[in-house]
Formats: sequence, structure tokens, C-alpha cells
Amino acid sequence: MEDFERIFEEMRGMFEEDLRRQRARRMGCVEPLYNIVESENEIRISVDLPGVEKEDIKLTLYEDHLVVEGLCKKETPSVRRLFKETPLYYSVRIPLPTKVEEEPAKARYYNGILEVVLTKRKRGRRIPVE
Amino acid sequence: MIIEEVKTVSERPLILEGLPDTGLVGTISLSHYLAKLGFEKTGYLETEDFPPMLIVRNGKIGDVLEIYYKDNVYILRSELPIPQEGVHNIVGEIVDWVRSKSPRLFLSLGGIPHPYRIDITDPKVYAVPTSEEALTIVSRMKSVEVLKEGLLFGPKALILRKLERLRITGLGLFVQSYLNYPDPGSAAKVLTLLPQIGLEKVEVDSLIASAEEIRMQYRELMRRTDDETRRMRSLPPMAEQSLV
Repeated sequence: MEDFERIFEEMRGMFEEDLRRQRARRMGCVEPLYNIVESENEIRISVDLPGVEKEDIKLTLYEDHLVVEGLCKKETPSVRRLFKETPLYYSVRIPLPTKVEEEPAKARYYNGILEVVLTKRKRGRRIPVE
Repeated sequence: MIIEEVKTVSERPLILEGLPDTGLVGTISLSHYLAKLGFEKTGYLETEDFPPMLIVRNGKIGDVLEIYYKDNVYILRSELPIPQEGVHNIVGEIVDWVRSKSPRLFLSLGGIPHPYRIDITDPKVYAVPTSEEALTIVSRMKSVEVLKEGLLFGPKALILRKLERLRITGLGLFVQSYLNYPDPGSAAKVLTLLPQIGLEKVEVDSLIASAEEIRMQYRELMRRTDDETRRMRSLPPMAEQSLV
């Protein structure tokens, strides 16, 4: 049963990634700059999303990657766009350096930078000796 | 080689350098400084080490690495990161030119990455002096401390190293910044220090107010700069390294 759920989860992930890529191609998405900082227990991922409102960010955590999407509605004369009527759309798939717990995952958006803090999944399990 | 199209008469000038680096601090700060104070373009670097490209500004053909001048102050600014393959040649050309000007001070503005920059409201500034004279200048400055331990990579590191060997008074001012995002906040911080070394004061409120737009504008340069920096440091992509 666990194997079936894992395979189903993987297929769902592949399907959603394919949809994301198709959407990205259609909309002429921009891949935002991102950075990963690892500590003993945490992974901190920050993503540069200037011009995006917090409400327009979509964040999805998968087993081995994080998908960040965001719509930039801000008018920026310095940024040239292929089609002026199409808003700037950020999209990136960030591979995770290690497996993480589903909870707790924290995210905050400050001054155009999104920061996501993930807890690393513990590799070993302590076995009490009786 | 550096070509000076406009003859300038300077006497022990001050030279400011803002080549693309961590957080594009030098590039953003000196672009703002140039825009506000009306410097004149006087020269450029002629080299085959940059990729074949053409920069057009306001309908005119420009240069990748340009030199500006006003009131005994030179500014060096580049629209592209110095490529790893050409770093020694280009830095050699820059240092030869600097030496020919006999400056009273060469000032390099840059960033020093901090992994938790998002939490820092007032970034610290570290100084790397190349001589006792430069150290004296730092000791008189407020809100600047000498970098005691650390590693610097890239063209700025090479320039400061060469200046130290040539006994030219040079000073690197490195402000805590994002590693690979353009950081107008840190650029503003370093600009506020310039009057302490006799440079004209420039307002930074407009720089901070347009921070998000600047970050969008400089995204591609930041990406290229980050790629070159990682190649120079031989790091795999997207691995965070802190210098302090």
C-alpha cells in the first residue's frame, strides 16, 4: 500500500511539473534568482521575487523539490517584456539538497524576497536499549 | 588597454571602482553616484577578453568597462562581470592605468555575503586596506571595521593584492549583502560613507525607494556575475558560502 502511495505521489509530481513547464513556456516565465543555506537541522531557501505581492505567490513543497511561482503586477519601465500585455511571471523548481519533513515549513515574504525554512528529515532513529 | 578619449588633468586623484561582484553593491552604488552627480565619460577598456557584444545606451554605442571623471575623481564601472579567463589580463590593465594616475586613494566598493542578510536592517561595513596610510583612513571612519580574517575572491581581490605590492594606497569597502541578489540597500549603505573620505554626498532615499525595480533591472547581470564568481571559486551551483 505504501509503495502504491509513493508511486502515485511521484506520478502526481511529474504531472504537476509538466503542467508548470507548459505554463512557464506559454507565459514566457522568468526564472528568479535563488539561494540555499543549509544548517545542521534546517534548509533556508530564499528566492528573489521583486515586484510580487504576497498574495500572488504560489509555493508547493514536494518530496525532493520546491516549486515557487509568482506574478509580478508592478509596472517597471526598465524591464523589457516580449509582450507588453503579459505580466511578468516568475517560476522556478528548486531541487532540495536533502529530504525534509512536511511539517514544520515556514515561509515569509519581505522586501521582495521570499524565505522558506524547511526542517531536515532525521536520518537515524534512536532505539532504546531494554 | 585603457583608452582615454577625453584628456583629463588630475593631481593625486581619487579612483572609485565598482566592478560587478557580490550583491552588485559596487555597480549599483556607483551607477547611482554617476547618475546623481553628472560625471563625464572619458575612457574605456579595449580588450578581447569580454564576450562579443555591443552595448547601446540612449541610441549610442557604449563600452563594457567605462571610465568617468569629475573634479579629480575617476569612476570605473562595468556592465559585465570580468570573465574568469581574462581576469589577470584585465586586472593588469586596470592596475597599470591606476598606477599611471598616482592616486591618493583607490577605493573599491563591494559586498560581502551574509547568509541571513534578510534579517539585517543596518549592514556592517568591513575594510581591507592595502597600506598603513589606508589603515589610517579607515581608523578615522565611523561605522567601518577592518576585516580581520576572511577570503576574498575575484577581480577586486586581485586588484587589492596588486596595489598592496605596488604600495599604492587602496581600500576595499565591503558591506554585508545578499550573495546573489542585487542589493540596493547595501549599495545605499556604502554610499553614505563616502563623505567621510572627502567625496561628495549623494542622496540615497531614491535608491532605496526603487529597490525592487533595480533588482529586476540588474537580475541578468547578477546571474552572470554569480556564475563567474562561482567559477572563480570552483564551487558547485547554488551552494552558499559565507566569507565571514
